[in-house]
Amino acid sequence: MGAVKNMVRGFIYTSIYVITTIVIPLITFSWLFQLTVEGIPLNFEQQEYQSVIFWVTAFGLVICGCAFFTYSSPKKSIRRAVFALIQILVNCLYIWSYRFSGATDIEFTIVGFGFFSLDISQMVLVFMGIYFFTIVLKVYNIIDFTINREKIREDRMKA
Amino acid sequence: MRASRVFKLVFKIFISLLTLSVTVVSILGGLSAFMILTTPGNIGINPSDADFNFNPSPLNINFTLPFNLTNAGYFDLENLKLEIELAMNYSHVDYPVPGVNETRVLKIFNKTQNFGNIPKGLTGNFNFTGLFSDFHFPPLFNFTTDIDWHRGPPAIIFTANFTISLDYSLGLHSVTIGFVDIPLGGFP
Repeated sequence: MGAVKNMVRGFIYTSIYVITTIVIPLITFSWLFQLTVEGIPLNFEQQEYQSVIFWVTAFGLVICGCAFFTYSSPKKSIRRAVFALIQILVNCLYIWSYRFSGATDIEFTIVGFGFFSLDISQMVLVFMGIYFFTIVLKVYNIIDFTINREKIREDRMKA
Repeated sequence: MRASRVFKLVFKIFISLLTLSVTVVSILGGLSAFMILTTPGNIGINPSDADFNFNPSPLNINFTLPFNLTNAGYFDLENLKLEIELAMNYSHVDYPVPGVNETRVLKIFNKTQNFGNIPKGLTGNFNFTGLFSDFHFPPLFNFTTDIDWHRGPPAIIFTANFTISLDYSLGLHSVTIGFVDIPLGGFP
């Protein structure tokens, strides 16, 4: 029964990650690329848009896969701690992909007027800082779950 | 509960709060930037409002450009800068060789002025000033003899590039808007 419960939890969290790492960014970028400034539509390079969409989808799918294995693993298991660490590392790559795909410094052309650019690289760096703290926490979990393995097993048996 | 568990819980709460606050600030900041940009009339810069004085002999050139920007967002707008680049299009007498007049575009002015911050919900009214000392003409350039005054009118056509840059939500978003090759008028 516990295995089924874990699988269901894995699917639920995968769905949440699909929405937050793929669906919401894709909707946001589609909206961004259809924006008008002072009533004038923005033009952008199709290649840039394709690159952003590719990296967001690619890393988003890997995060979703990791999320499934993380949340479908038993609580306080080493497997769960390892997958959680892998997931946060992929998350860092995902955030960093915004930077190297050009999504953090998007430049649009305003037809007949000039250009408009938005730079969010500072924001990405702040998120990377937060992820550093999260990595520390996940590493601590692996050590904690390994050292206290016997006790965790006993508690699990009692429950 | 063991001390390490308490510490872990506190650390987890700290990370969650940090993530939540940065996410909220980022979303609101992004929304604010787009509210400012997409609402017509928030950026009030019109070259025809400029008070432009040009006198070729004796050479004197200066201008004042009033502009305004409405901060319709959730946070203060910081580090508002306006960069103006002026160019003049004219026909150069006997250039590059005697007997040939070539049309040239000469960059004569480039200045960036920092106007500081605009608190949320307020409109900042500013004046960009370009003094004669800010203009840069090539050495030995003579307005009376180097310009083909028979071309046109106008013999000189002035164009400008405007670049507005600003930081938003504690510098997490930086926005730059550029208006390129805006015709300002001609002389005479």
